Amino acid sequence: MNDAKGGFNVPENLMVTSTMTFFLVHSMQVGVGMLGFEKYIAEGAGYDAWISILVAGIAVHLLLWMIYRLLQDCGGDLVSIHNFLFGKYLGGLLNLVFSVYFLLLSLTVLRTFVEVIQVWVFPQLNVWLFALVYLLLAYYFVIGGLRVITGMCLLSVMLGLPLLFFKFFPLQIGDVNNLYPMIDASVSEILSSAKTSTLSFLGFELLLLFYPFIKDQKASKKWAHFGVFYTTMIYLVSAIVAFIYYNEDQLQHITWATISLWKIVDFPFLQRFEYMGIGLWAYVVLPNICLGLWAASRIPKRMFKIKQKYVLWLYLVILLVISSLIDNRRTIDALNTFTNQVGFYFLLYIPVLFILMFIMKKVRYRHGI
Amino acid sequence: MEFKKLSPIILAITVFLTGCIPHQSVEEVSLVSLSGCDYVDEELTECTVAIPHYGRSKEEVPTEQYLSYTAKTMKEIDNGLESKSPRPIRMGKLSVALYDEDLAIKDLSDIIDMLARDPHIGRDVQLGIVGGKTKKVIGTKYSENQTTADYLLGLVEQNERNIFPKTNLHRFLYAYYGRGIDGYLPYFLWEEGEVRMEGLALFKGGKFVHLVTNDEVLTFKMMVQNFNQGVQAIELDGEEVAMENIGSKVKYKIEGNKDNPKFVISVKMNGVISEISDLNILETNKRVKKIEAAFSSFFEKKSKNMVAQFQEKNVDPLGLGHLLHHRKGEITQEEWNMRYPDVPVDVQVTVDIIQTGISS
Amino acid sequence: MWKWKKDKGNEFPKQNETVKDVTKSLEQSKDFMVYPLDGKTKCVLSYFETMVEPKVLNQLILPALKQNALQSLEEMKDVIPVEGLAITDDANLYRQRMMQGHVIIQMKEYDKKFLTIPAVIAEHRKVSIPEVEFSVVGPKEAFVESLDTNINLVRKRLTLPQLTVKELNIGKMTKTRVAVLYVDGVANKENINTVMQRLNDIEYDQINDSSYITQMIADNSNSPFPQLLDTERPDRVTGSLVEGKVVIIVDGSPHALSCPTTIVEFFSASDDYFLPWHLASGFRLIRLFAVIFSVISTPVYVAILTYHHEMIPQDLLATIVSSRADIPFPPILEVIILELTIELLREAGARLPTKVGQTIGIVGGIVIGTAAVEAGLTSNVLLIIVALGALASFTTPVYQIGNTIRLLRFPFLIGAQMWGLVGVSIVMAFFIAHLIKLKSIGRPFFSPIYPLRFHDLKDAFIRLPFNKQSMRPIQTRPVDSARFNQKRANEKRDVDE
Repeated sequence: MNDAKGGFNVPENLMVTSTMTFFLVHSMQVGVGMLGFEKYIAEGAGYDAWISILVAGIAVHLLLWMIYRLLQDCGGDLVSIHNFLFGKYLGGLLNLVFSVYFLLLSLTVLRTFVEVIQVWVFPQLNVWLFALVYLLLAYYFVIGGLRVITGMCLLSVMLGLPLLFFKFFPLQIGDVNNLYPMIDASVSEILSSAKTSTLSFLGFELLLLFYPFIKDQKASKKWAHFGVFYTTMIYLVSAIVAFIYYNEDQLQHITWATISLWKIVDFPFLQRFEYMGIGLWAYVVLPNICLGLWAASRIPKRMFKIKQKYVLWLYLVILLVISSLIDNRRTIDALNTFTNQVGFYFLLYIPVLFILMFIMKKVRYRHGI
Repeated sequence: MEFKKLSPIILAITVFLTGCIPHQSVEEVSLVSLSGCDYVDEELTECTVAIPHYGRSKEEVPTEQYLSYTAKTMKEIDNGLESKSPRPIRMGKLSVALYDEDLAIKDLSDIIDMLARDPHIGRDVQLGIVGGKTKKVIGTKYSENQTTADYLLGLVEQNERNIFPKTNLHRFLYAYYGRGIDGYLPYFLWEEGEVRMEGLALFKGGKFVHLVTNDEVLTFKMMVQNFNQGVQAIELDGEEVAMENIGSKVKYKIEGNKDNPKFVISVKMNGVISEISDLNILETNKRVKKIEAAFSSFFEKKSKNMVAQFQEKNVDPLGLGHLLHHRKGEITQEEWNMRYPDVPVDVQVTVDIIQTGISS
Repeated sequence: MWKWKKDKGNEFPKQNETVKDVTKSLEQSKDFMVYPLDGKTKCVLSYFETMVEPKVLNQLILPALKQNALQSLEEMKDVIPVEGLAITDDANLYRQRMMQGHVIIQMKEYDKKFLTIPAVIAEHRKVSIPEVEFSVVGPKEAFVESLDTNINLVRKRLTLPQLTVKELNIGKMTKTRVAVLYVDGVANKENINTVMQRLNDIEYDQINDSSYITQMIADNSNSPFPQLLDTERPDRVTGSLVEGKVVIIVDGSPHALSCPTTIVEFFSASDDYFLPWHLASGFRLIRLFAVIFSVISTPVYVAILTYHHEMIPQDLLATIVSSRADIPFPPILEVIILELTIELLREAGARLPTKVGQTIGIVGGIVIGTAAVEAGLTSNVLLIIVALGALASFTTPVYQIGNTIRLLRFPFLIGAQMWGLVGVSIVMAFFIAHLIKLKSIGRPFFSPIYPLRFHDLKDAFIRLPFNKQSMRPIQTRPVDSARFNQKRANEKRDVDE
């Protein structure tokens, strides 16, 4: 495995502990999609879509296992795997595709979050300006390296916890009957919903890049799986709460089910928590954009030995320009659907990689290398 | 070099100067607390809004400003009201929205859709139907130290704690969009400067189709909610007996299959005798049994009667279709509309009198 | 960290000076005395009149010289009954010792070889009760301006042979004595080296207080957060030393600095260790809440009143709107005016003598506040919020962080005015990024939150009982991390044993 060794060594002081894998994996998965995924997953399997979440969760666990095998066998990161399997040129091309894909993830999250703000809080929001400030914030994080981004992941999970507590309010007045009849949808319906929920689970494949930064890589496996499990549980709880609170036909009229749920949170000193929720969501979205940008800009650095800073600047400008150009709900919807599709294929690519690696190793072994 | 150092500051200033979103602080806008729409003719609708003006001192009761405008569409009305107001109108703090009977009979769908779509409107807005003109209900000052909106909200909340079932925008939307379930809203009546709740308006989609009168409301609530309030009086052996409900539980059951369902609504009510002329201690037990039986049959008769009326009007506020859909398999709204009038519905009420008061 | 520009050409004092040059330059001062002695011993005494203790000169040095016939400096050294004598011919030392209040004896004027006799006037404040970090229970000693007294206060509490004191002189002109204290065998070598290295690198001309050092050796001198904890309590210093921290004490400053530190340490008072753990934890949480309230309250007020009217509950709406009814300013301006007024009062109060300061506080607080509300310039709801916020910012046990918190809310106000609560979130995220990046002597400042250290969380937002604190904080990376054997502390007795 010479190619793998041709990678790099991450200095100890830039590494993160294995526990942080939990936060890295989880916070990249939970993003802006969570605010409105209920409607989309219910389109296929109806109110059995919570099963789809479990199915998707299990599939993600499986993929995560594959990723770990891949990384452990190869010992480097995505770039070294590609170079090892496909050689310099084809591998390089695939690397660049991944870089663009991670950028696309960041773009989708950023633009959708701005959209949420536009719809719910400030219809007259100056999109490019907000995107600029938000991207500068992301830049400030990414420039600090993965350690700093990991810190934000940790804090975003912590700051997101009170939002989970808000779920308690709609539960009180919901109707459990909505969930019946259980397991009524056909397998294909459930699978199609599971496919739709992919976007919500996207992001764990970033492990392919930050794996070398983890201190105790063996121990991190458990934490990564735990992170995916936690994500699955959060989605499950959110979906079930929404399904109980709204009936199926009503949900189809509600684009952002989770935000709408916050509307009924009511304290004697403040009410209408959707504004607070959206404010807090800025923290949940931030690690998504930061990690996406970090991963996207890291690939060229690994390939061409250019400074990550310059790639980062370029990508920031691209994000800023594109997110300012997109200006209507339809395009954003299309962008989300597109990312969802692309993300799904990228996930499918992981087993392919896994099998290729498996064959390659067999071949090499036979040839006595 | 100098520019490099200054650039963050310049950037910050630019962002601050250009980034501000048009805004009005809370005292510079007209926060509508109460709105009402009246039917004028086939095309025109008149909307009235009440805007409280808070004075400088807190003790002062806020004066209310009333604005009305008549136009065809809601958008036009919005603009029209805006043109009459010295300050921008914001619907964010709307707490009560009223519609008059004629408009409700015509169709409320458009208005409901608009309410559901507006992100600034809360989900706990109290909707209501008014027999008569809403303009009158809104324009009357009922209390010396409360705004009309607060007064009406208090009125509804008080009654919903009592015998009226809980209603608000979310609950109505739930029924409005859901299949096999129809919504209901409180019905107000305005008479000579007084407003009172006069029953429940049942809706088929966005149309007002049936009124549950005040003496039926308790029975209705018994069938849709668990609650522990309300007094019902009946005549037994030539004397008035009143029972106070201290806890009623309702259960729905479907017998048979999806195509031939039979609904059984069983209610278990615990009560306290609160008003009776004489209760002989020796025969208490026997009499209590008798009273229980009398109440049971009273409620059963009444509720069966009501369900029959609902079926006749093809309105399903109990959500039987909803239940069937979820418990026995998919059913469309059209299918349900066809079948609902002929579905057998049985109501079983068990009344338990657990106390007969402190004196005997 | 401050990047010092190494510029050897501009060195002060000049190199290659002779004793004669130095004497010549010193003679320009009026209080410099050159005093030839013509008795049994023939020699020249030179000293600064204002620096030398007359008792030492008159009762110890002069009698010794006059009663004996001494021919050389070595003989004098044996006779003069003062400790710390030295004979050298270093011109630099000549100047230095002279400035430190030594009496210098030469056989002839401008002689190269000389004897130095320490005779400095030991004038300083008596040890008094702490004023900034006062606590009702616990020790009531505070550091003073004398380095030796301060080290004495620490040594008295920590009678440990491993307590090491290193000393260096910093400041090209002031040559201030700076002592670095640590417990050998507990403190991490790397921390000590970093501190020593950074202190050695300082090339400023004057060090008037320990706060100079704080700013000069801070990892990020552009940060509003203090990266070294400053304290005037010897007991707090001992606590830090035992935890494996490095302490810097500067001569002439009644504040000691301890590092590496974390953000949570700034919110822990020494009271927390004197009270039972649940009470202490409760007070810590209250303090933390107070700080968050102090920073966030007015920005949230601006955000809600400017953009999110819907968030105000109906019952509060009347109160808020009627209080703002006649105010001619938008909320942001109203808040800034009031916040600046409070800051003004605070500044005025801090600069004035105590008694006048109190008067100003009352006049400002009551008269201006009431008048502003009466005149319709600010709303009374805001007045309450701002006053509470100001009060809350005083609850911080460390004065420095209180200053930071005072100014922290202004960026938040800008964020709130721009994008409401989302803006507040974004500004907060900037600060979080800053805090995550910030280091104190190379150790993460935001610990134990990030990097997440469960062990250190036992003494962060809450303080668990002492029998649970078996480990020294990981933050300082102590060489010896165990305080005691947790296993033995955990042994529990059964019923009736």
